[in-house]
Parts: sequence; structure tokens; C-alpha cells
Amino acid sequence: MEEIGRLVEAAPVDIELGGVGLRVASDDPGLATRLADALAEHAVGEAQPLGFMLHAPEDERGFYMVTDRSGFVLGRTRTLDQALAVTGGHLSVLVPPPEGTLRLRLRAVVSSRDGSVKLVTWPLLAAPPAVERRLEASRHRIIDRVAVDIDPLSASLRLSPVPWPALAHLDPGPGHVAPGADPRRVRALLAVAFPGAAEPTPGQVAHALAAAAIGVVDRDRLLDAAAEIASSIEARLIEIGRDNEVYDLLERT
Amino acid sequence: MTLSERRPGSPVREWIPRLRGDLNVRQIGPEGIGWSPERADPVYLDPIATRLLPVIDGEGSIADLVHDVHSVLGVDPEIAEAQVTRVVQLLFDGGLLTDSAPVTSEATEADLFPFPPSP
Repeated sequence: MEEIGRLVEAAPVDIELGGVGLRVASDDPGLATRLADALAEHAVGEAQPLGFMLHAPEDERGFYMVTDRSGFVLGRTRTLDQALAVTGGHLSVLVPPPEGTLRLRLRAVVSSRDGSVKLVTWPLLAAPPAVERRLEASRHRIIDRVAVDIDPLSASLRLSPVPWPALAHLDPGPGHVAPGADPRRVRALLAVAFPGAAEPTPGQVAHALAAAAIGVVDRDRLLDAAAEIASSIEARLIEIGRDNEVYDLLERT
Repeated sequence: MTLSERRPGSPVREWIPRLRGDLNVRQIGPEGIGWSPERADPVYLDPIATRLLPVIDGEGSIADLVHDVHSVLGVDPEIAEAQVTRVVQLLFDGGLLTDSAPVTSEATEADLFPFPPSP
């Protein structure tokens, strides 16, 4: 807590977008200045709830780290630009979702082989955090967004690109990919389960998707959409405590 | 909270479960999803719960439902009672019944972060 307090005091960037206010706290004045400049049009004077934190490397061989408000690591990067790119991707979740899409609080990874997407339920790739080099080795990259938008009719990811030019052109580095406008087909849902659990049924997948939805206005429509998506994707389980097998699973699928 | 804890002094078998009239329910093959407007999370309904849902008409007690399941489906009475009680407990916990337990946490539909919830 003491460290969080110090960070918030050190270099806060308070913004409001899409009716949501967030603070990005950084212990690196250079990072904070770059971010504040990029997001200047959304700056607000009042303190906002903490959303993300940016940490500078502790030594020359260390990583920049982007974490969410709870301290879960969202990205470890070698350069300041990469850290800004990762942060920009996550902040783009404040842009309202494209018309007709369903917003789900799930992470997503993209296959470098065929561009298809796997949705990942918490805590996979969060606790323990994603290891960028292992993602690369499995030929996948994690999309830098804490929530994703899906078109239920085509079961495709439809993400608004990062809207800030100063952040949009930056490369997030190995293991990461920025949200992009191109629709990508969702192929699978990866989730954790107790040992011996049977493969999830379409009803269980639909339930998991519905439970992950945020900003729901019409629950009837949401359940239709969840059932529609569940009917067209496969679900794969990883046993609790064997989280690292997610990389092997990604490599095989 | 179990059904007997919710209704102390009243035998569980005598209780008449009543579904809320404003639920969102979707059937997916033999399974289903039920959602109370007062709850943030939907409830997964396994095939047995999905099959029992239309049988819960708000008039029959749990004992009546057990009898129906036994006589119509030929299920052993003890198994029928265990399954009916389990399903009613599931519906009760999920807020799908008219006298389900009060909501203990507010809906958090605007949350972006999985844990802890957004303010």
C-alpha cells in the first residue's frame, strides 16, 4: 500500500473518457509526461480512481512494467515506448464498443500463424502473469486490452484501435499486440478448472461468456449472443495450479 | 444459506418454491441459463435444473415436485428428493425465486477489472 500511495503521489495522469474516469500512476516522470501529452484532450483536474500503474526498471537490465489497479502485471517491456504502447492499448477500452458488439471482461491472444483469437478467462495469463517470451514461443501474442468486444453473429473480435496518434504508432514489443480494427475470428475459450473436470458444454461456455459481460443493457440479447458465440467456438480447460500449461495448449491449437 | 436456514421451523419439503416472473431464461440444448434482474451474475442451469424449471409452477411444494419427478420420470424417490432439493437450492441461491436470499452485493456491470472490482 505504501508503494501504491507513493506512486499515486509521484506522477498521476487523470483522464476521463466515455463517462469513465481513470488515473494512471507512474514512478517515472518521463513516462508520465509522455502519457499526459498523448492524452491531453481527456485530462481532468480532479483525482480519478486508480486504473493502471507504470513502473520504470529498477536497473539497466530490468523491465518497464504495466500493472492494473490491483497490481496484476499486464506487460513487461524493454523500452519506454513499448510500455506506453501497452498502456495505450489498455486505455482504449474506455472507447465505447463498436455497435452491435458484446463487451467481455476477458483477455485475448492472437495466433501469429492464422490470426485467430483465443479468449482467456481470469486468472490465466494474469496470475501468474503472461511471460512474453513464452507467448512468442507458442506463436501467440496477447492483445493489450483488459476487456474485448465481440460481434456475436460472426464470433469475431472487433476492437476499436488506439485512438491517440502518439500512442497508436508505437510497437508494444514481443508477446504483445495492440488492439486493431480488423475483425479476427474467435476460435476458443481457455479456462481453468478443477482436476478431472469434464470438457465444458455449450451451456457452460455461454454462461461463462454471459458472466463476463460488462455494460449490459439488454440481458435477453446478451444471452442470445452468448449462446450464439458458444455454439461456434471450442472450450479448453487447464487444471488449477498448472497455469503454465496454457502455453503448451496455445502451441497445440 | 440453506433452505432450512432460510425458513427455520418449517420443513423444507413443505416449502412452495415460486419463480420470479421477471427472469431472463435461455435454454441451450439440454442446459440453460437463468438471470435474476436483481443479480449481477447469471446462473448456469444443468440439464436436471433446466428440466425442472417449467415444473416449478408456484403451486406445488418440494414434496409435490419430488412426487412428480418420481411418478413421471420413474426416478427413485430418494434420488428425486436429493435432486429437487439441490435444484431449488441452486435457484434460491441464484436469486431466481421470489423469496431468494437478499442481494449481498451490488451489480457491477461497469467493471473493467476482474479483481478487485472497479470503484
